[in-house]
Amino acid sequence: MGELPWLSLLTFLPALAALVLAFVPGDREVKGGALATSVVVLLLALGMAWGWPTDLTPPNLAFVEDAEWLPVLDIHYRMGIDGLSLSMILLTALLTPLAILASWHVGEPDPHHAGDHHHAPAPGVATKGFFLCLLLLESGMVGVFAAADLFLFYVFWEVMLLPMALLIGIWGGENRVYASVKFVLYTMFGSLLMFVAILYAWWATASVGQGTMEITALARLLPTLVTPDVQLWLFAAFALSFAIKVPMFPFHTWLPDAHVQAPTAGSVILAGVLLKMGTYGFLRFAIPFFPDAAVTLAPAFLCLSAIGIVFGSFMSMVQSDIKKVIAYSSVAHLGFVMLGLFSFTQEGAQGGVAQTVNHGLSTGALFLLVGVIYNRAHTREMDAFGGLAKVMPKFATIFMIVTLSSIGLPGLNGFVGEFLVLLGTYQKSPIWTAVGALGVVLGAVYMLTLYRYLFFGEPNPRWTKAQLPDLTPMELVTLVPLVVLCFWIGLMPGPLLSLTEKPVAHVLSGVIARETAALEAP
Amino acid sequence: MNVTALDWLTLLPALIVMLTGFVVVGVDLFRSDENHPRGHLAVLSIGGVLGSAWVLFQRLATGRPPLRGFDGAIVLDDTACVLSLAVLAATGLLMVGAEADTRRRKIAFGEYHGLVLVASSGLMLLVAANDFLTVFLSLEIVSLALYVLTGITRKSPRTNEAAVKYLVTGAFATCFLLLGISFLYGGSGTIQYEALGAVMAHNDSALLTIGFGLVMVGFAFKIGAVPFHQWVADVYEGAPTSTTAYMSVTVKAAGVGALARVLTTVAPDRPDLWGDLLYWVAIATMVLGNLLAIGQTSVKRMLAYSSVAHTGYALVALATMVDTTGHVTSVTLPGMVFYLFGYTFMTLGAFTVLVYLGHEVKRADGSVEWQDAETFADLAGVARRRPWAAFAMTLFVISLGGIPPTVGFVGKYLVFSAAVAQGHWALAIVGVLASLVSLFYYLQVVVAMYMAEPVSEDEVPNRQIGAVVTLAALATLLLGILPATVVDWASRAVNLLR
Repeated sequence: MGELPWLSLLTFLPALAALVLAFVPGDREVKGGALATSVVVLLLALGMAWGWPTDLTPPNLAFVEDAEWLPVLDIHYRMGIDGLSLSMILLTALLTPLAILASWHVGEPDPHHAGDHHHAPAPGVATKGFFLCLLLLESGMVGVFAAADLFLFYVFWEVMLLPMALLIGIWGGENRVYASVKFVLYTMFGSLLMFVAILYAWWATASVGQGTMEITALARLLPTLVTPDVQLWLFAAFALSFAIKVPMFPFHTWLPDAHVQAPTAGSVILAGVLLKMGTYGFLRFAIPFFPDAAVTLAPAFLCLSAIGIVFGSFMSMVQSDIKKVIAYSSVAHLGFVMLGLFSFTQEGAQGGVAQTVNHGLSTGALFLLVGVIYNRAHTREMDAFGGLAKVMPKFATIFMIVTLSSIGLPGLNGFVGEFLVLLGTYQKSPIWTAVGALGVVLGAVYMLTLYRYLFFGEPNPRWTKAQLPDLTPMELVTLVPLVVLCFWIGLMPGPLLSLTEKPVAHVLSGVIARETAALEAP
Repeated sequence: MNVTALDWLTLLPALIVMLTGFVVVGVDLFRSDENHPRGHLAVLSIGGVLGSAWVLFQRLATGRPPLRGFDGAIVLDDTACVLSLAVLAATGLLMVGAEADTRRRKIAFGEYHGLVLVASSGLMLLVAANDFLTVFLSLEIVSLALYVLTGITRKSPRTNEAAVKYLVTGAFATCFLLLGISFLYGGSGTIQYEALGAVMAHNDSALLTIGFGLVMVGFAFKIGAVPFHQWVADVYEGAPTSTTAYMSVTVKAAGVGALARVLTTVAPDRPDLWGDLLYWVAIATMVLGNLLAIGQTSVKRMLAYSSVAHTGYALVALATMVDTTGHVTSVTLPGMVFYLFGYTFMTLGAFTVLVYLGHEVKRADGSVEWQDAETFADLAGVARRRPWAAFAMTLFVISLGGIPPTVGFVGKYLVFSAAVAQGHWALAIVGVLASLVSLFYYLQVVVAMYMAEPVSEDEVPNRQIGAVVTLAALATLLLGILPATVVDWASRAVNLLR
């Protein structure tokens, strides 16, 4: 591949920028610098997509970098990506500048609500810290997807935690400290058990003289080196960590707190990227490393996914806080993704992957939209609004498109993923497919209800027209790219699907072989 | 007995530090003027530390074979070198801020420097000690210096109380050690480790078993392992914070290192005497240390309990030398050595931030007294006023909690990967869950600094103390990102087991 260490550049540019910007005194300059950095990262990522080697066959990786790091423990600094990682990196690189733009006025006194302390949490640090956290977060996120060494992956996986916790804990809502601590402890609980499993996985290879931490090598070695019984434990440890991140029912309870308390940018990144790390982890680590265990436990995961879909949908229906509606809808959507993955069919799994991207786009957009209305009204209660379609027509239009994308209208991105997931799952289990399809209907119910509450009827007399101006040009800039992509993927899903086709097929080949063997066994 | 050049060479690193200490005290004695500038003495102290460190570094870098001096009473091998370097790193860092620290606390400059240097030389002897008389002597050198350092702010009743507590419990522990040593001598006729080990291997007389048990109790006291940890919190909380910073890291590094040498040289053939025992002591120390740290209102006391928990992590490495089949191997020792080395920077750093954020208190009689930051309230809202201090403290606590990219994470990784490799995955799980508990209280520090409203804003930061914090933070981060060299040194600790 290229001579430049593309992936290292992509990963460490934001962190380096954060280091430099830490010495810059003015908030404005820091904001500008952060935005510029994230745009450069986006351009770099697009450049990599442009030069993507389409003939790449798994388990080979593109843009590989390799250097010794801790030879005693077979640890390398190894970066490398396949189509799956690239799609996630693109999503990360896209959402970060949008999140920065959406946070432009963080920490500034609000002209409409001067003296209104109730709604303005006092940040404990200078505003520029917000943008430094976002940059560090971006480094961690890109690193998670770019790492090709298990140790390196784990490092990035944990590095991300603190900036996110600070974003929630410093610039979040009323209950921010509680949400932040809960987020960290919940995530760490899973991570630490995965940590022990990682140590065991390394030892499993090292004890037979083939010690490695390289992800592709582990995927080749572990299924044969680890007995199915032990695989169950190791899979459980990895799966717990990822299931908390996704989050799967019943490990989701940190999510509503974190989402609702987080500032808009935090919610966007959390929903758009962090949750995807869970599903990515299943596809990259848990399933290929321990395929026997994955096959054994698949029915349980299908069941939990389906419960997640229905549970998340019903919870969404009864919320009055707009952000909570969307937070719980994430539980339902990610349930869909997991349903597709654990169907172990090409359609289902690819639909699941497509759905992770779609969810990142549409839910990212939804959180941005909630941020828009919250900035104006300082409330997120559904009852407080009504008739916004008349007051804020541009806002209403974009909200409508994103809503339709989220509920899977054909022609928009959500449809592609949901359809493929249902198609794939049906081959395995018609019952769970039916539950999933019910979820689609329920999704339409709560999203359209939300839309009706906000936009139809008479405008709520509580607000003057001046209090609720329509979208500003800057807000349009943050939203339009997402809307365009929603249409693009909806109409032309080809590029996204072909990008992830081979990696997904490679992951599935291991499990499908074992499923067939199990069927043929007497 | 003829003392040869080789003997002196074995002693050289410790000797340099000790003589520097004497010179500093001696020179300072002749300066009656309290306000006389003492920069050159501070430079001399740091120079002594650096000189000694250079000797050790040369040995490590060139990979020399171990030096055995005084008929095998002192062994300067790679493990001793790395742990001595850890002690010297702590000493050097302390010295960078010591001039300012003594001035603000109104402590005698010469005595303070002298005592610290003498204590350090004792600790360096301790990690190289290869017979029980040397262990006893070096422990006494260390302890006497530390008793005084604990109570060095003479007018503060609090530090006096801590010093007396330390003296009493320390003397108690020494009694155990001494009694154990005499039992061992009575049972075997020798106090030299290898000779003793040869006797122990084939002799399970009650005299030797009891003696060994008493020695273990003595060590457990010194390193603050459960159930002999009660003194730790009181002494660490009462002592001046800079003394706490110094002793919490150096005594642990040297004490655990010395214990490792006892286990690997005296009793490698008798894991039945210590394997299971250490396994449960490690668990109890990790769990209890972390649980006690929760809910403390004083950050200093919380860090004291957390240091108990960290003794537990180091003990995991010692306990897992015995694998699940009862064999003794030394693959876990590199983890221990690296852990103790890294622990130096993060803990010293965390305590020093408390010194950095200290303030002056006016007494009723009009005198001004220095008061270190101590409670969570003192840290509240620090991030807004002193972003870099808050950032450094965050780095130290996430390192203590074992989150990358810090040295604490690499240390935990090494310790627990060796434990898993030895078949002790259950112990590894207990360890990581204990560190989850620790994250809860470490996070409270972050929450206080970043998310709480300031209570008082009267801290008087000092550039020298700030330099200590900066250096410790850089070491915590750099050793977390590029640990290979130190891991390489630490890996040679496998040679401890003969």
